Amino acid sequence: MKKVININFQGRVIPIEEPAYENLKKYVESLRTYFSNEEGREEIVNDIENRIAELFNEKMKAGASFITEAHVEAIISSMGRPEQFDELSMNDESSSSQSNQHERTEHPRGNLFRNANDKLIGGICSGIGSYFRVDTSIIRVLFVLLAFGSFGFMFFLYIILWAILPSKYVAETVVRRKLYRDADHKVIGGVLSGIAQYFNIQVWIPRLIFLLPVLLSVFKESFPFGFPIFYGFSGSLVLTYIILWAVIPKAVTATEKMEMKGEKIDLESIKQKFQDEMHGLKKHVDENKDKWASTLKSKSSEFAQEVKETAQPAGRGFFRFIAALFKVFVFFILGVIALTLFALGTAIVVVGNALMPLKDFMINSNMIQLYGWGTVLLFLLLPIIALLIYFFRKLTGIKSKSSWLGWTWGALWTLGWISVTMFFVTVSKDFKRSGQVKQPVQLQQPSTGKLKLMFTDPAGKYYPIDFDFFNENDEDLEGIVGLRLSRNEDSLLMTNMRIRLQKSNDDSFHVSIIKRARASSAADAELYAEQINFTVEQSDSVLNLPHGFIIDNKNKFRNQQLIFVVEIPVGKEVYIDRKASNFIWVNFRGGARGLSVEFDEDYEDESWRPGVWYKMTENGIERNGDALDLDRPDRPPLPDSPIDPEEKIERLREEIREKERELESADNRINEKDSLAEMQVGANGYNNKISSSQSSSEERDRKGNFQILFRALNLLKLAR
Amino acid sequence: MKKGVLEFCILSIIRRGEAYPSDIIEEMKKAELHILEGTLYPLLTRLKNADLLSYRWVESQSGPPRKYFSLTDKGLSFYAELEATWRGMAAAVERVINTKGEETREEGQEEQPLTVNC
Repeated sequence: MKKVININFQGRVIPIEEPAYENLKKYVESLRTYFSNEEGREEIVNDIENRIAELFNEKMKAGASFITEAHVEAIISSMGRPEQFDELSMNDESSSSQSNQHERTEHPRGNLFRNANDKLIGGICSGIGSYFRVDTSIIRVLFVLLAFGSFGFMFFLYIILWAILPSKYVAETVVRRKLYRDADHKVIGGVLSGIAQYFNIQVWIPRLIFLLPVLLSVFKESFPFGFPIFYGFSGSLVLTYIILWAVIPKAVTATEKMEMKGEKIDLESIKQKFQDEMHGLKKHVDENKDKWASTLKSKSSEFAQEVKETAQPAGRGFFRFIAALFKVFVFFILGVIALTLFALGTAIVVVGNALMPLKDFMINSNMIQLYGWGTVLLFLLLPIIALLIYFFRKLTGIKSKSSWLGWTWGALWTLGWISVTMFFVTVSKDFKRSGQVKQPVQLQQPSTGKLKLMFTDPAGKYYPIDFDFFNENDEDLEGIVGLRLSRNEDSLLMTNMRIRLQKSNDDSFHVSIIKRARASSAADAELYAEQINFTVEQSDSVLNLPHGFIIDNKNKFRNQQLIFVVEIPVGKEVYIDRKASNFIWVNFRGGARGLSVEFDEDYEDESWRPGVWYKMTENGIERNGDALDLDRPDRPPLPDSPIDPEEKIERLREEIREKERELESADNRINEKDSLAEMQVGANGYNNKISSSQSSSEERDRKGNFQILFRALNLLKLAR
Repeated sequence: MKKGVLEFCILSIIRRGEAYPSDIIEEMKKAELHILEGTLYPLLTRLKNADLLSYRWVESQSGPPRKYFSLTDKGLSFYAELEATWRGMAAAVERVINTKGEETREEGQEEQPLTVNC
């Protein structure tokens, strides 16, 4: 049973089935549309309605209690539908369009020709499209794409076709579904939207496919096996987009829009289309209002909006073209920025993860912990996430549903800023003041008159802080220089130290330790300084120092520093172990002006180098070359001559070059066995020399040199 | 071509007596000329707007009031012209299809040539 309603039709109340009434309404609407150009439209429609009312009356009289769908259908058939009117009609316009409609669907194929009506350049693509019943835009796009790869062949083909094919004027190119640009759903130019419409796929699919090579080209360095295609692609993709923009027409009229979607074109669907457009326009305006109101994302969207706005009113094609070009570039750059941010975000997460254990040493109050987290999450990661979401939305065409989302992002980011500030303020308070303690070390004067400083690794296992997740190789584990973490992560080994060599005021060696630390007050700082654990052991002329000092996470990191002062009497010698080059120098300075951090990895004093013996003279430290380092016998001692090592290397190089020249000249006579034998003898001679001089220690110097030379010669001979 | 013919037919029906659309359609049907009501109404309105027809409302017991059309003087004279044209064309066509050879062509040349607007 269908619902029956009462309507007021031509001054009478008529009971009628609801669907029947709907049909009636539609019919009258269609008439209105059909006669929209007629002068007497209202009168005609009224007359027809009047007639219908009369017929309703007859039906009721005949015994019907209400008008049914069947009644309405019969009446409409007898009255005739607008499409049928022109069978005997006198209306010029309607008849011509009617015949066009027939032509549209029944136009014979005919021969291949150029379509002079619908031409961009020569009408060739249009003609081909007409012949194959494919949309002209598709043909054009294919043509352009082929032209890219064909190095001008397509260009010549085009010219040939232009000459060969006759041109014809066709009223309309015959096609059902056309490729248009969808201006209503556009991000830049609606090119990809239109493509999506034509193939009836979701909008984000062609967009993603289009942008994928662009994205990958930015990543190209991450692919060691290389994606060279993509790198070249991205540039030509932008160009392709612009060409597509120019070639594919925009769907402006309702008819075109329906052609784009492949909908049946008749009066009703056109009416429907207009209604939809009005609704869509209103929605569009509302959404834009929200977008403009949000702060964080409004920057880039405002910008894009401005470009859109300036582009639309200026109807001129050239200006719009430039605007579209600009927009493409802007989005490209924004895309690159987004990717960089993504990479940055990932990096932050990775680094943060690695530095996690250090957190315990820095943070000595809950407040700092809070500020620290606030900083990382709100200040650093938030904008990255927000921008990524923005780009994702733009890509998929999802509109933002509410304006408060933008405000929320902004508020959270402001909180992030506050967190950062508070974080630095509180941290710097703890490093405001420094305190220092100087402790002398009990020393027995070495019997040899030389003092050697060696470093021992303290008891317990300490590991470097590892950033590199992917590298399984132990050798490469370096982590942060000078910082090592215990296995259970509760103590830290720091080599935050310096060695100072000074002249002693008397005949003996003096050694003392200066300990430093920082805290919020000077008294606290001294306390912390005193707590630095550093014990020196002596075995005659060797001082064993721990290679760093230990901080546990109860004491926390207080920028503890250690200076080891060695006073050397004149005439005595001193040697510092090579491990001293592992020292770092970290300075955290807090205070009114904020927190400043210095980090010096390769700390080196100007006056001395580790691994070398020095002698104290009246004027200061001087290098001592005589004494051998007993601990390292395999290393050749420095030569007695006061020549710099660099000069020595230069001299050796020159000698090698000389020998090279000799070999070259000898090479010319290589066919003659004498010369070969000569060379052999010469080489053997060297060998003999070497073996004979092996006993003498003086010759050991030369041995080293000749060894280098011989090896070089061998290499050269092999190369020949 | 049918364009002018239709109007001619309708005018002739109304000339014979006051008629309303349904009647007109009935008469056309009787003469094997089928026309849709939807075609007729606009046509009548056009003719009325061209001052060739006038109408009056007649109340009816069984249903809404009806428009009854009748020819105006202008309509009458227009009708005369149409009739003359029609008869002239009919005769000319008759002559052409009944041609007996050269003598007919010579005969035809004496006649005033008719321009037919369809």
